[in-house]
Amino acid sequence: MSSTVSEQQLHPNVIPYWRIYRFLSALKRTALVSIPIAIHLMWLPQWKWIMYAAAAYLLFHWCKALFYIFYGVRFSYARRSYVLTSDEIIIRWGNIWSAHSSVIPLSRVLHVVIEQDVIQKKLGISDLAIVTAGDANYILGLLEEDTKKLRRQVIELAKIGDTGAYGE
Amino acid sequence: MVNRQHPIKILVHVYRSVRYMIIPYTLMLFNEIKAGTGQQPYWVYVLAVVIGVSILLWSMITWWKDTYQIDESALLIQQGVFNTTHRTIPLERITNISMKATWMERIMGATTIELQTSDSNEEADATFVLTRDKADILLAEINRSVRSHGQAKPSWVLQPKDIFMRSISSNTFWMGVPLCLSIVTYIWDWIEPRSEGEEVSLVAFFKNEMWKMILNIDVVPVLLQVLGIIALCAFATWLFSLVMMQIRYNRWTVIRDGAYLHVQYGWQERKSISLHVAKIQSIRIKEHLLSRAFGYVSIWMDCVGYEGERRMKLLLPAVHRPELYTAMERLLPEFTLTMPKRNLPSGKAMYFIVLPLAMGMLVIGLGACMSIWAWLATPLLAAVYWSGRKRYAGTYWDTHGKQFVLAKPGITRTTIYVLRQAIQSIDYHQNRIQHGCGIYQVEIIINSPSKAKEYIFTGAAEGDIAKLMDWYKGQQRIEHCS
Repeated sequence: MSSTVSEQQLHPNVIPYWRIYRFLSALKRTALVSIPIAIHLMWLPQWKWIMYAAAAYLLFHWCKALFYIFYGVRFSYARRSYVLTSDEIIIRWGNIWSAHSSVIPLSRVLHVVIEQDVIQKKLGISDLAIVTAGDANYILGLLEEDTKKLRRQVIELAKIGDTGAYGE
Repeated sequence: MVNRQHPIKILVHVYRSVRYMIIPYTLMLFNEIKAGTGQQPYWVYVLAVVIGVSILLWSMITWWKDTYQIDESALLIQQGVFNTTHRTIPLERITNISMKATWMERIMGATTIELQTSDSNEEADATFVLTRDKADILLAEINRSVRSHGQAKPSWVLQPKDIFMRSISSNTFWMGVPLCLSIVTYIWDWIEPRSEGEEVSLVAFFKNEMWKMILNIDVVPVLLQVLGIIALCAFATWLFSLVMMQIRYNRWTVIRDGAYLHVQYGWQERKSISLHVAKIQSIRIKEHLLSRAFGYVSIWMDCVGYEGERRMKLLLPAVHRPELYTAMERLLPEFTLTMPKRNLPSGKAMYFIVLPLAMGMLVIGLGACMSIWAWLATPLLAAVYWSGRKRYAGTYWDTHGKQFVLAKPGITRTTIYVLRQAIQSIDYHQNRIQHGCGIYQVEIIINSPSKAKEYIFTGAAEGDIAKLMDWYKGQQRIEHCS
């Protein structure tokens, strides 16, 4: 019998993290697209379509990135959560367009991984990857201490159900 | 006792080391002979000999240093020349064994054995090329003498007619069409040689003059001729694939022996696979377009630790539908073949039929604003309607005991049977359109499925999700739809 725990939201620090991350991704994409633009300017000035295609591509992706940074990020935050019970973990995520849920029996968990990049370290948050034989599901943007606590909880609970999923 | 692999492994190692050099060296040699010089500086020959001898010596040393030993409970493998790796594989952990012998290995009296223990479908944990006697000893030590099953009574043997029924629906023959087209081009060139100055390069292909010439002539007959040639090439390669499949799947035999399943097949390259039944997560019944018309289906499986040939995990390439239940009872009684009864919720046709139709009409309408020819695409709307209707009315799912069943329509109709203990997690998601229609997309996650999309279906209602979760959590409250 599973004892239900209330739905846990992520730490709000994940919002600036996603904004920075998205901004850096847009910059990376711009740097990549600048390669064909440079080729056009230096060697192929008669091929104007390269410039038009690159400009259209950049315009589309920058609009998308700015829309996400100023508006969409709130949906991502509102739709990301997790519920840990004694025999399962439910991870929810989504964006402005869709909502996803993943139901993972704790007995299927092979291992859990804590991940943290430089920006996350600065903001004091980290990710927890819950790995089964089929997939890896991420709980993003928890405070470092909360991540460690959740990892300990998952490991301890996963031991209980090692006879099979949901005590099979 | 320390054992070594068959010396043919030296040749295999040499071949693997030089295989990427063969084409450039052959081209260089060809050009050299054609040019008629035949003279190179000495250092070229010295370098070639040094490289050749080094590769041969390295292959011999590698072969000498690759050893294995078997004791009562484990297989001890030692590999590496400078960096040595020692691996110990407990014998009881070996779940799947594959054996194959190419024509070269057969001549040399060798067999390749692949042992798998892992819980994923990655490459084999250990691969040995052994003499037949050593292979027999190794299999006997693991208590899995596959060869002895050659004399055991087979549980199911396919006849050439069955293999023919599988081969008529083969879709891999398309890969041979470019080759066939190239051959036809060369034959054409031989029958009607082109004039001296004519270029055949890619640059010439894109030259404006050529396109101008094509546009000046009557396009329709030329197009029909090109299509006719492509169709003939496709037909020729399809006929060729029928023969090739008879060779590849020759004497397909499946033996059920306690907790193991042995599959043996092949004429030019005889293969033998031994699978632990407990590792089989799901079976998939596929009804291919052409073989379906003759009442034949093929049985596939997803088994942990078994990669399959070219990622194809076939249990039976073809079986006549009336014999399907008998075959499954003999080979895998762990699975119960029931037809799923739960269809998609009523009143959701809009998502599957109306929306794609509206989208198609919009695209054609926009296209027509630019070119009147866009109206020619209107018949495609009938195909969109037919496909959406089939998808909506033909998708069924259900749970039966400890297995989940999903039947999906399409050019190939597929029914999957997944064991509950094999399901790692269940994902469900909904976009805004699906939210408006009140439906979800459900994905059953298992360990390394060969085709993940076969485990996904769209159209489940919220109540269906709740019932599926109840079943997954072991609360057998699911009711069958009448």
